[in-house]
Amino acid sequence: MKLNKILMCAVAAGAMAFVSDQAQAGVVISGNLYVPISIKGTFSYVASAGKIKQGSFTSKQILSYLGEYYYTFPAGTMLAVGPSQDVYAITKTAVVADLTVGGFFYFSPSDTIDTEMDQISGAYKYNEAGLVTLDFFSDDGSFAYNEYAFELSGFYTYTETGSAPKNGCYNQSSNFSAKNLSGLGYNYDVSGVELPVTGSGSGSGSGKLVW
Amino acid sequence: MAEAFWIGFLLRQMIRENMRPKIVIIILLAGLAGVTVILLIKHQGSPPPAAVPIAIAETKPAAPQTAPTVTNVPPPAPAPVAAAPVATNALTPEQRQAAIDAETDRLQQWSMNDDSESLSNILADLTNSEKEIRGAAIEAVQQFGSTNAIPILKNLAANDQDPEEKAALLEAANFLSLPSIFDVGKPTTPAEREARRQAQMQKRALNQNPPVVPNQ
Repeated sequence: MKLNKILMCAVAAGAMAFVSDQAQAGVVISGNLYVPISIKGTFSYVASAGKIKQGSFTSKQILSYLGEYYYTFPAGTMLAVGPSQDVYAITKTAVVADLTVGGFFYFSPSDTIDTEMDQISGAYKYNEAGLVTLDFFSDDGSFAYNEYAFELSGFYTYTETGSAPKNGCYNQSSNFSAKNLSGLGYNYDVSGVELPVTGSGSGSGSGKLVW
Repeated sequence: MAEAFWIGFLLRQMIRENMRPKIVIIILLAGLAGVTVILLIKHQGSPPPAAVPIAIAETKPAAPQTAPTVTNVPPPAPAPVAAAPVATNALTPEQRQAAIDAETDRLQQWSMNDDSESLSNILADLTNSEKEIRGAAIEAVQQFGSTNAIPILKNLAANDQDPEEKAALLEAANFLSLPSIFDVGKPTTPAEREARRQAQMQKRALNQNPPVVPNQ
């Protein structure tokens, strides 16, 4: 199954909505699987004449920023990819905000190659690789109107395994990794021009889903 | 054998005396009762018989099949270097993976917190026996964003034999040493910060793409 299909149509067993501390990675909320993701990267900027420096960003800092101006995030709020491949702010039990609908975050994987190995039992293993874009805008879709923004793209891999179905359910494990993303960014406080940005993103999640 | 002697003696007496059957039965019953009393008194003085071992089925609740056995008791100090406990050796591959997933999930949660206990837990997993968990801990420590972790990362890198992991540890230490882009170039005086904040709020008010109201 492809990443986009899974994230769009994954329906979870009702019991998984109550995610305990012992639960597997991944969060199932209202019948949908949300895969927590971590993003980090660096902006390069001219600090002074003849000197280029770097500044860092993480998904935690981005959530902190959005929480300062737009949302009220409970402690422990995470970034996650969920239905429709939107990027969400979630807790372990609730969706706090759809950051893609809000115009802040966009996640767009496009698989170039993929392969799937199915077993008679129904268990399967799926791999895909391709290009992903990951965009963040603190205020608006246009760089010039933002305090902070970046548009990153690069190679990614996605692995998914599914267990043999049992009693109409199966366990799915998903793993996403994009280690070498690059692109441009904007920082209102540092420069009036676009800045080179590098970054990475990864996420993993698993849950009990209805077959 | 005193009991048999007394029974035989009574029978002989009864035959000799030519007693009636009813009397004979009563006397016999009385004799049996006496013998029983004697036997009981004898057995009370002897040691109790050895206990016979009886196989009793264990009724402990079965351990959950996928319950992760990785337990991570948060150490009190924020800079532990001791290996985090992992008991994944006796698990099936599926159970082991489930335990790794669960710990990775916890690392993700801890990385989003700001308390010293969460940082301690993350640092403890930097020396976890599972490479996958150590990798997740390196990612989590960067997300957590505490410069207190830098010397620990450098120390671990100095003693790490795995070149890939060594590089990841040093890279994480370097990443934590960078200033956040959300802080770079920001006004430093309160008046400047307030003026900038006002400008930002004004800009957002004019934004044609207003933020969505949170779900909760």
